[in-house]
Amino acid sequence: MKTDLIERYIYAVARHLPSKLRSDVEKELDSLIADMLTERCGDVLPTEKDIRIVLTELGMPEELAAKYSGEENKALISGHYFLQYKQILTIVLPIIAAVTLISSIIQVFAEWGKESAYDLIFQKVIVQTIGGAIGGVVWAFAVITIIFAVVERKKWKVDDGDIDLDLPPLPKNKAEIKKHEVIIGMVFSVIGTIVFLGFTRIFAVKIALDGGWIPIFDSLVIRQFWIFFILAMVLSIVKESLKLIDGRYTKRIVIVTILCNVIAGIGAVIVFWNGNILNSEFVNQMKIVLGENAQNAFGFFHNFNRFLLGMIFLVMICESIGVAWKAWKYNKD
Amino acid sequence: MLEKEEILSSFLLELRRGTITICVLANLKEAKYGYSLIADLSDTGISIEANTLYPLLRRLEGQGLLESSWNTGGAKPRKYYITTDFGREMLAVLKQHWLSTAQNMERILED
Repeated sequence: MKTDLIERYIYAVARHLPSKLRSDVEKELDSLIADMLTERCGDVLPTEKDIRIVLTELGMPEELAAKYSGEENKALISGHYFLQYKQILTIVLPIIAAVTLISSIIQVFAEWGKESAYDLIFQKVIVQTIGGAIGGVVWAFAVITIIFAVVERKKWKVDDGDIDLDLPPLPKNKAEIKKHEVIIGMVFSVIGTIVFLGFTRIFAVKIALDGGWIPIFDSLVIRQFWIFFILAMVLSIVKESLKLIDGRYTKRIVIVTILCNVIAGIGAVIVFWNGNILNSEFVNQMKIVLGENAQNAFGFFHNFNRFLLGMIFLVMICESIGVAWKAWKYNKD
Repeated sequence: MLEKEEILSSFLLELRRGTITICVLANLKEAKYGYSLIADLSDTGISIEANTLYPLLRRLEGQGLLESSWNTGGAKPRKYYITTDFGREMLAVLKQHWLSTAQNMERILED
């Protein structure tokens, strides 16, 4: 006697639990619900209504999960949201700490040489990096806690005993977004941003065989646009956090992904439209290699920045379509 | 009025939280699965909801007071719990505490 609604309920409980507990709790709940239904209906086949009554007796899936994990009543945030709250904190805070730490180090290096006294620089390294990291974590912690506390308060007013059994169906096989995918996504965008902003000169080409490495970008100009790169990184963290909360490709993930990509796209136009971001030596060398009036296939190297802009758009469009397609594919019944 | 009920129910919850562990340990001297334990307890006038009992059983198992095994012989697989030696030892101590607490409570509530 395992109906779709029961499956959904058990999944909604289990998905909040640590993986080692999951399958055991799933089996246990399955036989418990069967027992409760037998108790209620005897030999008669339980109706949808019986199942709803039994599941309501068991309570909100989030609360039951919190009881199983033994973490109810431990926080300002109640069982409703505590596990999600904890999950977001344990992922976002270390990443924020890493970001602020590394970006502060980069900031110090960017100003390297302007100071004459080296002990002053050393002092700055200590104060800025550690202070920056702690400040970043405290700030992120406060923001996340406030968001959850507001959601919690709203919930109290809406919730009057009757539980919501309008649960989403089980994600099929690949539809579930794994936690490590989200972490990889976040770390990738953070590292990408740091490398591009802090170590712009890494992106270099060797045009003549005997020549040296020529940086593609003008790192000073790139750094003037730092706010756009940080914005893109924050948008990416928002996207990934939502994936963590929903645990599957949903309509709102599609909407948020497209929205974030549109905003990031506008930022990309502002940064990459202007040829100033390219290292002038790189541009000159390309002109020499390709000839002054190369209108052929290599012509785009004169506007290499716009070629990059096109690539960025391509990646964003692919991502948006991919997410939309997955949401559509896994949600159609 | 509602507030009064809420206050009362939070007191009752606290009262039950401590006693239910003793009930469970005493009742699981022989192996039972969760739902049959609920039925046995309710026969003796102790009511506990499944969504409280099942996580509690798991917690007691984690603390080494109970041990469990899946019995797949029946119509559906069931997880049976039984009190361990350590659990019995703890039960004996808890029982002493309970008896003396009950005595003291009686004396306090006499007048």
